Amino acid sequence: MADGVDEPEEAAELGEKEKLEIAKWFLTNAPAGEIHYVAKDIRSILGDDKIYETAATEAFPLYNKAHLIVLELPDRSGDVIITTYGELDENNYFDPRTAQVATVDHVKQVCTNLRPATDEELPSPYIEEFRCALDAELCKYVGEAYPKGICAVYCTRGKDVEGPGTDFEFAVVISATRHSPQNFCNGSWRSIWKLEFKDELQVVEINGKMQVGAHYFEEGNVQLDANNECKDSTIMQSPEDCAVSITSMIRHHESEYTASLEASYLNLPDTTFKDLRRKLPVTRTLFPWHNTLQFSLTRDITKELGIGK
Amino acid sequence: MEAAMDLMRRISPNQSETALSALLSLLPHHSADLLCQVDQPLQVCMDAESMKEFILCEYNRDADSYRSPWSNKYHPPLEDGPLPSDELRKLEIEANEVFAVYCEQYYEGGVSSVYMWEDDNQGLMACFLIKKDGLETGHGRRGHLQEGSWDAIHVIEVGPVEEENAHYCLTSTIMLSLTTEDKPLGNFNLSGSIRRQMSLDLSVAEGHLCNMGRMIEEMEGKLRNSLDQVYFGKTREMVCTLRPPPEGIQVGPVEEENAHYCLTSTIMLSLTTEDKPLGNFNLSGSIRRQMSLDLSVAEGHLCNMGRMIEEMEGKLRNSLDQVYFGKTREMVCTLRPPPEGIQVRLPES
Repeated sequence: MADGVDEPEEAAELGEKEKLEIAKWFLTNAPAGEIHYVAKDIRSILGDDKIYETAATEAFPLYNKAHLIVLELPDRSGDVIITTYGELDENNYFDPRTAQVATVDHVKQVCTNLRPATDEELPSPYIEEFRCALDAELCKYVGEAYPKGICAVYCTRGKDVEGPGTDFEFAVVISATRHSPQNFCNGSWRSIWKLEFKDELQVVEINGKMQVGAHYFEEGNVQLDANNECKDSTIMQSPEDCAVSITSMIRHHESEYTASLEASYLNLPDTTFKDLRRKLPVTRTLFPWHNTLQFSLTRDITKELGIGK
Repeated sequence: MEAAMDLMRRISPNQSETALSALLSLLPHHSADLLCQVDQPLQVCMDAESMKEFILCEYNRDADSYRSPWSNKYHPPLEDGPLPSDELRKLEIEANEVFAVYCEQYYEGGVSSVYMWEDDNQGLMACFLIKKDGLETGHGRRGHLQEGSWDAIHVIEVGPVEEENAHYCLTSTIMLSLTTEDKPLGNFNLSGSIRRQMSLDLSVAEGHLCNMGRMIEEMEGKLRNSLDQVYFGKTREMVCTLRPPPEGIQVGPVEEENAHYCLTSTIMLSLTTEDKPLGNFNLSGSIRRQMSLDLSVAEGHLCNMGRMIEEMEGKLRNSLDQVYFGKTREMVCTLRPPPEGIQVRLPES
């Protein structure tokens, strides 16, 4: 244990770089919806605003992208999702639906500026036809399936493809959160579906990753961290038909995942939880503590309960 | 310090070790408080002499050595490491033996340790610890768990005996983590940490060990249920809030003549009456419930689904009638309580 003489030396030993890394670690590992609380805590613990601000500037963008943070556009024409798929540079994010680019303050989590996207930033009309049809179907699905879900479709490869004959790729992003800090509960659902349109085979390959997190912290700290990946494929058709079949696959896989999560919770008390601690001993009675008055009786308990040593 | 404790409640329990060591390096002046108040997953060490494992914690530590409850010796060896008095050691030995049996009964494996020491006020302090690694039973028995751990720390303060009674104050912490990994679920991890306190005055007629044991058993039962129903239940609710399961019945694939049925029902209803002296009276409601069951497919899907729906409709009808409409009735009585006395309405003839 450190004594008074050593302490000042120890505190100085932890250099600025180490403190910065620690601060960033806490910020990027904050649960959904809680980064501001974590930020407040770490700021007060660090006691050094300069280090805090550097950490925040580096950590918030990572957190925002990982959590698919949704920000309202300044002119209220829609929302922009903070994701690598729409990232033009660290502070500028593209919203494909309204064809605008938002400048973002990551730490404050607000949009500070908005401008229309330039022609170079937009996909070609051919690509846009597919993207737009899919976006429309997807919005319908997300509107029905998620009480508060936001979605977007980005072209991640081949955005300048003029017509058939070349492969291209899309990324579908769905982000839904629920923050109830007054009920000590926060949660988030993030889906990312990568679509590869393979022209030669006339096939669309679908790769989905769904991630669900929940945090309940009333007099305790319990977290759910679940994720799943799946693959599927469909034939490539007209933009409208593709949109319908892709969306219905997404709907199918996500519904199936929701059902599996529910089944897991259902099985929890009787199976996985029981592997850790039973509700009662095999005897179905409470443990006979009263027989512990004398040491020698311990051996009798062992016999009584029928277990060998 | 408050900020540090808040951080520990937000960071995932699976990362609590990293978080604590980060906090210790940021706040070296608070290391004693942090080590005391922040619970960490338990570590285990082998006592080569007795060939048994024992649990490491602050209460059996001196410098970098830990005292084994089996041999009463420090590992690595330490000269003059503090030891309990001979009398207390007897109680400690007995506690370890009995607690090991308790551990076997409830945990079907796992490592347990009990440490005792004298308190300044002529009372005693005891620490009962359990570490269970889910994989022990996992592969051999039910095989559902990929990874899992349950750590229990129970610290009891026993006050001095006065007139055959003593005051017991128990602080319990459970830390647990469960991970399952299988198609079609992918990775599913639930982790949690909760801490509770219980204080009782008990007669010492049956001895301290008996009293402490019963308190711990009761507390563990409550915490297990709490974790299961409340805590894990809340995360489950959150998942259903984020993306409610679609209406209708989802039937899972048939496995070994059983299938999983998940029914989501919505009832929407509206009743309006209109007559003097009531005027217009309208009650309308919409409720949605879920029911999940694993059933044998011996009688076919239709039979199973039909029965679930019938049961659900019955429950929802009653729920709407008694609970939901009942609450609106209560609200009316709260807004303007009926005057005391008997109100008689004369029959209309």
